[in-house]
Amino acid sequence: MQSIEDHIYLLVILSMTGTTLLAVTIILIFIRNQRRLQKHRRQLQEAALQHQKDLLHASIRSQEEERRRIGRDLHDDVGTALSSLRMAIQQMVHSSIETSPAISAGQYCKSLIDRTMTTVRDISHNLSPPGLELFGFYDTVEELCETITRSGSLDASVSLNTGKLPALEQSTCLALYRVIQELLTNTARHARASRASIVFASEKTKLIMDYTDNGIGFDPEKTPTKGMGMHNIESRLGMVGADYSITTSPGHGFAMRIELNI
Amino acid sequence: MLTTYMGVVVPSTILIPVGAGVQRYRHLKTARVIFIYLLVGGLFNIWAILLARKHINNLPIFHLYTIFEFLTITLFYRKILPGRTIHRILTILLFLFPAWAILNALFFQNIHMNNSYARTPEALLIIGMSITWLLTSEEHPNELGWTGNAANWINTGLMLYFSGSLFLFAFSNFIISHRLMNTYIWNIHATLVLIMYLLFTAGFLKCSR
Repeated sequence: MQSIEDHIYLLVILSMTGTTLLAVTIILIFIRNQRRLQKHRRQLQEAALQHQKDLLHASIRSQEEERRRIGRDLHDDVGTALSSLRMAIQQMVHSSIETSPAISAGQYCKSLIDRTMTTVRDISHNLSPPGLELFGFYDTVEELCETITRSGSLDASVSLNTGKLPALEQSTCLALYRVIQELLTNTARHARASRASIVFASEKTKLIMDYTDNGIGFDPEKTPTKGMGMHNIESRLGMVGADYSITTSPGHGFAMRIELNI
Repeated sequence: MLTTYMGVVVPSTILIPVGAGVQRYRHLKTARVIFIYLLVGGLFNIWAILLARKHINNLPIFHLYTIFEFLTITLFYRKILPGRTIHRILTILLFLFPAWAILNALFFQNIHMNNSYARTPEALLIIGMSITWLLTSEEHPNELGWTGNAANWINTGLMLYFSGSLFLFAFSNFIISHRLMNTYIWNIHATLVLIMYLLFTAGFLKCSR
């Protein structure tokens, strides 16, 4: 009888161990399955996000391509046509008698054509800045600042805290240029600022750009939604793999630091 | 030594999950009922220990404790398990099981012996609830992963404790006759309680905003 009792105790202990092990196994299998499921879900999310990014980048690229084409057509076709028209009018004026009313009309037409040519050139340059290829990134940004300062809306300046800017790819230059354009437009439109400055510096493998204005700033906590401008900036910086940080508060202007690995 | 482990050391470790519960009390939400289960369970334990010291049979307390334990744990699963049908079943069980436990104490198992006819189905029902939680896991995905969900830790604690103790509850009136083996087996039970407490602690600490 004693030995049978011993067996019962042993069986109870074995059963307890067995059921515990069974529970542990079930839980471990469940954890493994849930991790796999989570990983799969994360991969799907990442793929969807990547697809969105690719679509956005493709749309930005095609937009740039289209801008370049329109800019070139405006400059080459419309610009050339206007130049020919101007020359024709000039010839007509030369061949007219000095007192003829055609002379004053011709002068008026010439000034109109000159103005139209300037507008066409500005639009064309804005659509596709030719300076990027001809004079380089820094000079083009300098020219942009000068144009904005001349327009009287803002005193924009650019400076270099490093000997020479590192060589950048054309697509990177264009993306940074568009970001600067967007920042200056935002400052001029919304910041009520009188001054904006852009400072370039470079570290070992990094190009750093600090943009600051002395405008009214904003509270990032209370203004969480981003406008189209900020979305554009974010997308373009994402395209070239640049990081950015924003420092702003009401009454203390706006500052943005962009760091680009080169 | 063996009785100190199961009679003093393990019951005192209840302070670990209770401490964690107090620290995170505001964020406990669904786990609050488990916190109450621990607190009141601790009081039951003290009462049982005091009676045992005075050599008074403390088994009647466990008849009451079983009802309380089932109610709190079922309320916890009723809060976390999804689906109207599951809620209905759990609501019915909330009435049915205490009724059975009282009937058992009155007509089948004397209150001065282990209530194995109540405790064993209780363990089976709770194991069923914890398996239901695992099976419905796809309906409650957590961004922080398995470890980030407090309910997973608490469910693991309950599942391990009730699975491990199932045979002990079933045969508790058989093993009581052999003093030494009885102590060994109840020490294994104490270890399962300790594991459950630690898993509850992890669950409470995972409760956040």
